Amino acid sequence: MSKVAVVSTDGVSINEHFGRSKEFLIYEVDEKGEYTFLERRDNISPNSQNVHAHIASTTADLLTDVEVVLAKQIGPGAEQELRKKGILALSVNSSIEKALQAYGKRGKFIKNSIKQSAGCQSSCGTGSCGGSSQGCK
Amino acid sequence: MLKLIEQPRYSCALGAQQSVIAIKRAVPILHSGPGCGDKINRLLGQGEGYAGGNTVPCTNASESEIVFGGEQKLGNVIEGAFKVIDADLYAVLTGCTSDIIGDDIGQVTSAYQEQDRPIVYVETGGFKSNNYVSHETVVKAIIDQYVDKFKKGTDKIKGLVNVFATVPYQDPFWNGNLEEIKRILEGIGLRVNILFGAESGGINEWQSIPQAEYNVVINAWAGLGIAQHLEEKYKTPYIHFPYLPIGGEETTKFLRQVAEVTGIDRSYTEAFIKKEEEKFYMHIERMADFILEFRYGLPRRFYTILDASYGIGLSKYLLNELGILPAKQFIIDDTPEEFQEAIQEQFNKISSLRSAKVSFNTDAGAIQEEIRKDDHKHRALIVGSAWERDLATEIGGDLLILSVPVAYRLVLNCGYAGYNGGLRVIEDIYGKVLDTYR
Amino acid sequence: MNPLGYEVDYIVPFSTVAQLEHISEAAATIQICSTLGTYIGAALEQVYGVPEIKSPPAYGIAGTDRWMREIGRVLNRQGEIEEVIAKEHERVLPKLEEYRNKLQGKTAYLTAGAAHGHALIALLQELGMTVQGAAIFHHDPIYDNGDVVSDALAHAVNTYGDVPNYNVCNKQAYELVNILNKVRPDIMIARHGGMTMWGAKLGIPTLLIGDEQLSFGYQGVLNYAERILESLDNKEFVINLAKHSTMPYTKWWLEQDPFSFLRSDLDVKTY
Repeated sequence: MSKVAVVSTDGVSINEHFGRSKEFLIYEVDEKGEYTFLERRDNISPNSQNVHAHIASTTADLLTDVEVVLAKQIGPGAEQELRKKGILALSVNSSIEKALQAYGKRGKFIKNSIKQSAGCQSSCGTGSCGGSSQGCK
Repeated sequence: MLKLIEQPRYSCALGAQQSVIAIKRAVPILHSGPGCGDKINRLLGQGEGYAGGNTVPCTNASESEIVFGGEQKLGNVIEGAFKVIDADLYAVLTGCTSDIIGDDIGQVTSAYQEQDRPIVYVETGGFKSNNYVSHETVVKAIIDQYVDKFKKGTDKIKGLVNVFATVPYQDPFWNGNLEEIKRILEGIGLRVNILFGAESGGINEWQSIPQAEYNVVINAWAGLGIAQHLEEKYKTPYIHFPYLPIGGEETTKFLRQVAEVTGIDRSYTEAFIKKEEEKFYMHIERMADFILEFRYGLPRRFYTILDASYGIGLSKYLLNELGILPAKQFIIDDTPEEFQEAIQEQFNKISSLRSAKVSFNTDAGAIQEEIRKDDHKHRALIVGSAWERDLATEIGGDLLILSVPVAYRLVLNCGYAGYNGGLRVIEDIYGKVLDTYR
Repeated sequence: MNPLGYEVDYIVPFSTVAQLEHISEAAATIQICSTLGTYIGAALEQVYGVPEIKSPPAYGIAGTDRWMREIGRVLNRQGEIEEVIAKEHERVLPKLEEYRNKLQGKTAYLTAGAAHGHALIALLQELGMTVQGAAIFHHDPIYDNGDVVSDALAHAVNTYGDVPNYNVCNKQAYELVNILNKVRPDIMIARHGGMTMWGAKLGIPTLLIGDEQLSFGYQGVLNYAERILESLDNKEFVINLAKHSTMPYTKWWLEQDPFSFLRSDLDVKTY
């Protein structure tokens, strides 16, 4: 069973940017792709004066019990903050239903990635560390 | 059953991206994780060439694609490739991730095939096989999806043969080898589709594949599937020479077999052979003094850590024409079981006077251990890869690098096949040996 | 020599002038090549009274025994020498037997300089091989020291039996190839570079012994035997070479007697 946070304004589609989300919809998903709605969770109110990272970090604190956050878009800074706390962020543009079904069935393939990223403090960009062409011979 | 191997000498199935790169003006499009293509290029590649290495378009599939599917991304990348890369043939290859999650690349690609774009797709998820096997898969896909559609005709052209020899790039000397093979087949009067490399005519040759009278397979096993497929499809018979012919004896044997089956003018063939042999043996005569008189400063025995085609071909040459005795031979290409017996037979009859010991092992670390433990009373020659360097120093032997990873050599068109290849073997081995003298 | 308390100074290659200044103070001169070393050995004895070891060089068991005993006599250490001889015999003779079994009856043809040639003939015979012939480059019936004891050839013949087809001054390639073509030994042994081709082109395994130290003494017999076995084993190369090599001699010549061209006014005596 996995806990998933979804960014949505209408409860039907994943249609909002992570940073602009007012609230998160938390679901529990199983390996068959079946899911149940758990709760709504308010995001901290965005203050245009604050630095993004600070907000992202605090938002991340809100979601530490969650495995993955699904949003239409997410900035790299926020993604990193989430990763530091062992939370994966994926951008996807689809209905909540489709996304949760997909994640339920295939989330297991990327479980290791989530565990690993918790310790990954350096600027790791997207995904795994493959493809460093800086002459790692 | 979990088995660990150390130092494999080949790549995963996606390694066949290099086979695409070996075709003039063809480019692979990878639907795989980031870095797969790069890693393969490190082991097998010899520079980017036309559009290889870091120029290869890739979907860089990561968590998103794994969870939500990568077909859309693939479509985008294909479109982008068409716009940005000037190629005659595009081949979509999949990596592990795509094959695990089951993206329907066929559906994505066929949309473009319907527009008559020169594009094919092949599932080459790394875990499926190694690149000796997937080379066949990729070639067959190109034949089925591109050649079949754009072929110039199916009427046979007299004297035209398609050649399927060593796996390009997996064989570091593929260009030189293909060059020599083309030269000697043309020498006996045939027209050759060499299909890969500098001497080939690019996709023009591929389009005439169905018109060949014969297919010539020069390999212990990798490539037979292609010939069998072409026999089914276009009724083209094939000739199988089960190893790489190196040096005078074996090259002559090869040419005679081809001449026999294709029915080409025998006297023309023999005249060519005679000329080549004369040249070849004149050089052997010139260096025979050296071999005989320096005997105790030269390697007396040899170990090979190579694939089957090279292993058989080189061992025969080293023993029969250079007088170096076989110590132990190891075959590292993960030979399918059905071919192992025939290969064993080749070593059983390696010369009229003796047999050679051969074992099949993909764990080159274990192979090195075995060699290390041997009694090294006499100077040995190791024919293997750059990873054998320390071992060679340890046992006081010489190393000839013939297999990937190459590292300490720059290879352009150096080849070891055929008559010219045999002479190169001599120069390269003894050059190294002489270099160790004070 | 060290167990006997002597130091050995190896001259003349690699010697400094300073070393050479002392040579007249040596207890004895041992030379290993009767052709080239006897001049200085004889001179040292005649002019400075340094005794020269006159017995033929130590090739073969019997040859080494005799040589060792001569050293013992000159240096007056016979007893200790006998001990060394006994010990070496114990070590070497059983292994020699093994080699004899493998080499028994194999035929060899030899081309070498006089000193080594004679010594090698003796050695080959000790290994149980049949020496079918030899082409020796030259012959000194009397060595520089005037002593008959040093006649190695006589010694070999007297100890082991006659050698057929023994020829002197035969670095004539055309004669040698002709002989080899007819004799067809199991192995040809050359003691000088540049001659191995002639055997090899005929498909005969050929061995070049370049290093004279290798066959010296008791261990030398074993080393030599091992090398011969290795060469006999390595036939593929010469068989292939014979198949493809060019023979510069006319067919007519190869059918002739090898000595057809010796001038009739010269004396070809068989001893």
